[in-house]
Amino acid sequence: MPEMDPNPGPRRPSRVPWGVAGTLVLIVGIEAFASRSAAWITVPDAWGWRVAARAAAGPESGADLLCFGDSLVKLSLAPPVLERELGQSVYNLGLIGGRTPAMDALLGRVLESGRKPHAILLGLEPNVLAQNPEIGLKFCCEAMSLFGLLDMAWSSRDASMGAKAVLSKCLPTYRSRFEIRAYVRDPLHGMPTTLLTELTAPYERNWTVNRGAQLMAPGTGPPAPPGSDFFPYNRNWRCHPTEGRYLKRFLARAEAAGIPVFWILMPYDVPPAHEDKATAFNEVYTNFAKRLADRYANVTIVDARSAGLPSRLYYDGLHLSRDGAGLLSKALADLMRTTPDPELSRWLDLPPISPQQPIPRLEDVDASKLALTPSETIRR
Amino acid sequence: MLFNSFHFAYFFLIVFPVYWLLPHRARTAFLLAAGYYFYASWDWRFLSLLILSTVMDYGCGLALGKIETPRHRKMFVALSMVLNLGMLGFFKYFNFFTENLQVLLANSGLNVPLWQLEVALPIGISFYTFQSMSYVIDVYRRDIPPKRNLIEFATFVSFFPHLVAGPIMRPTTLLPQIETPRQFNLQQFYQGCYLIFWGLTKKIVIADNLAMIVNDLFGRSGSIDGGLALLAIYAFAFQIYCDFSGYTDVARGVSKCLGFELALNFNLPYFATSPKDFWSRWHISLSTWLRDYLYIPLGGNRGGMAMMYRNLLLTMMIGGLWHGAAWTFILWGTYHGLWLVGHRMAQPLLDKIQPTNRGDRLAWKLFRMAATFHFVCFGWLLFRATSLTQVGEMLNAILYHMALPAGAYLVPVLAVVLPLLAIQVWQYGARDLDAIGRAPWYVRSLIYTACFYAIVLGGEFQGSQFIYFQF
Repeated sequence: MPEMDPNPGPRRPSRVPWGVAGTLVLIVGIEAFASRSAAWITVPDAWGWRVAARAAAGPESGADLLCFGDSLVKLSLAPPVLERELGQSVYNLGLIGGRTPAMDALLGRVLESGRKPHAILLGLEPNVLAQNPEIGLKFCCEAMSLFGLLDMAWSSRDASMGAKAVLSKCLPTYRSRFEIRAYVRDPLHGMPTTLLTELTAPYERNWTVNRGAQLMAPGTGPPAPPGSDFFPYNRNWRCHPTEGRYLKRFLARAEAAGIPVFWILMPYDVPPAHEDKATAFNEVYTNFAKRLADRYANVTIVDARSAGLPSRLYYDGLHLSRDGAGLLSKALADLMRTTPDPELSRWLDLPPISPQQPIPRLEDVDASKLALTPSETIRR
Repeated sequence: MLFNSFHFAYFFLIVFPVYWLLPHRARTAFLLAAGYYFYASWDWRFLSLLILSTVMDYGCGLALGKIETPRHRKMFVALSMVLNLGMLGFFKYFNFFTENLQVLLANSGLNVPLWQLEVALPIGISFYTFQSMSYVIDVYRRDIPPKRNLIEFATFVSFFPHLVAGPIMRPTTLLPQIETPRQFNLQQFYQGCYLIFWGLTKKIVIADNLAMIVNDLFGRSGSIDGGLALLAIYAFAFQIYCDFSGYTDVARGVSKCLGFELALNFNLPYFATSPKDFWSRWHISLSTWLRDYLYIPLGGNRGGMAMMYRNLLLTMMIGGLWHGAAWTFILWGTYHGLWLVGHRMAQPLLDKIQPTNRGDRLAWKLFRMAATFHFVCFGWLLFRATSLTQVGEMLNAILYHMALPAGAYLVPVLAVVLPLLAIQVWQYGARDLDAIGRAPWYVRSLIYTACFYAIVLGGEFQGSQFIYFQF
């Protein structure tokens, strides 16, 4: 016979669940502490979203030119060079792994703060456009409001995304659970613990020095796997419906505010063996961009895919390294400076860039790390 | 629609308020609709089987209420069993029997290609067919009158909290609850919320984290040392317990929120001190069903020791087969049958050990618990293994290549199992499964907060299926 008493009698009746009430108080306290300690539990890429969101509502967004987009923009457009060449202030609001819902939210913040750039430089990675934005939900929480996240879930008709969005936004511990786990797991596995504050500090300096951009040192990108025959794009590319919806919203918002948008079709490194694939993909993507440009009168396509930059100027085949970013930015500035009324053009071809020309001097992340003082490693 | 999914959370958030706002009759019909929606969300095509089983047994019950001739009454019971077991046999065991028949024929020199089914197993079929059959048998035995209200009977069969993985409810227990108008009870609602929370903690934090380690180690059973093999078996023991009892807790919790009381299905099974004790604590609804509808009709412990042992063995073998169409399940059931028989045989000897000293009594009890646990774990090895070869590999490693398990595996297992054991020791010592609920509010707050963060930080959110759904 089991020794448990199957009928131990009723609990002490209480209308108020004091246990649950106490739990809620504890949870609120812990989450508040986690929120204040966000720097310790947020990876650099996510922290970059937070910084960009702050900048979009701050004085940085008062720049004459604002850059929007994903990592292609963040790593490949250098505001210091653009500013020098164009004589206008520039700020890069690019987001690593950026999603169009977040991009639209940032533009909304800029306009709500009463600022309006003279023009927008836009760059988008096609494979990110093809993905479900839920993949970047954790990062979206750093830049979007709860309402914006729920709107994204509604737009995707995805109730599960909505629930995850609420959890991620309201519970910093849930959002950073992998980072917190790593703090516990790594010492148990004998691995050194890296404080995220120390990891992020060089990036934060680099974003400050480069006005929002993140410039990577040449030759520090991930090596291609041996024997890899991978090419990231193909002719079957399609824009994800939700990403497309928000891209249109972004362009419409800029159009309504009277802001010209220069949509840069960013260059990427094409191995000779995949030129056919690249040509086929480029045609599909060009048609996609043209359809949107035809719909929004404020959009000018800048085709930089024939920039002809050599592989050594790329960080990883898609993103440019520091030198490549400098050259691309200079070439873009030259194009905009020499084209009369560029915002009235519907299509601009960026001429091939000579890699022999002097490379603008810029600070990359490695240099930022060396330049950090001990006090700068400790973030607020 | 898994309990540990947002889909279910949204479903229940809608069902709960609508249910309580409706009057009694409409409430029952609404529960039926919710049950069908819940089942159809898995695969709408198999809803027809659930409805077929329901209508069939409803009809058989009505017929048994009108017919008095014993021969004709038996016919309707047989009809119900043939149709229910026929459905179960067709979807679950057809391929198993044809494959083995083919092997048997091939061994006899006859190569006859037999037809193989390519159809998914309807989820919950093992549970609702048994539940529905038990209604017909109870009507036949005149334990309950036949149900005339089809809506109430259909709700009994398709009550969604327990539809896909039990507990198997007796008509004598659940039907009266459906018939009686239910009143919202705040304490019952709190208890329900607590059970849901505790069940999800066991599933998401403990079972799903252990599953990754178990799958990894069983996946390379041929190359791990004895320490890891033993750890894999212990981890699986807790994985299957937390997975199944977690599901049951959520089912009971959801039911309580709707004003129903489902049967307790797990009663600290790893604190059992004998095989009989284990089976009175593990999957209680199935073991009592098998006792009442198989063991006792076979003769039970009447007809001498040999008959009793035969009935015990047969019942456990069929219990093993119920779990799945594979020889490892039959072997597992047979093993438990042999263990039960062996323990019965050894009972006179064991009864002679009567320590008088309190410390000795405790030591003897702990020894029996540990021994029972390890006998159960050996059974889990048979249950989890994909083949007898794998069983051999794991045993070989344990017997001949013993080593301390690597910390990378041992620490995560201990991290999730030790807190569970601490709570269960508390429950066992207090002789109260609701020990946490009776603790002071600040103790409860700390425990709830710890469980909450265990879920948030340590939980796996891939929405993994419950193990017993495959049965």
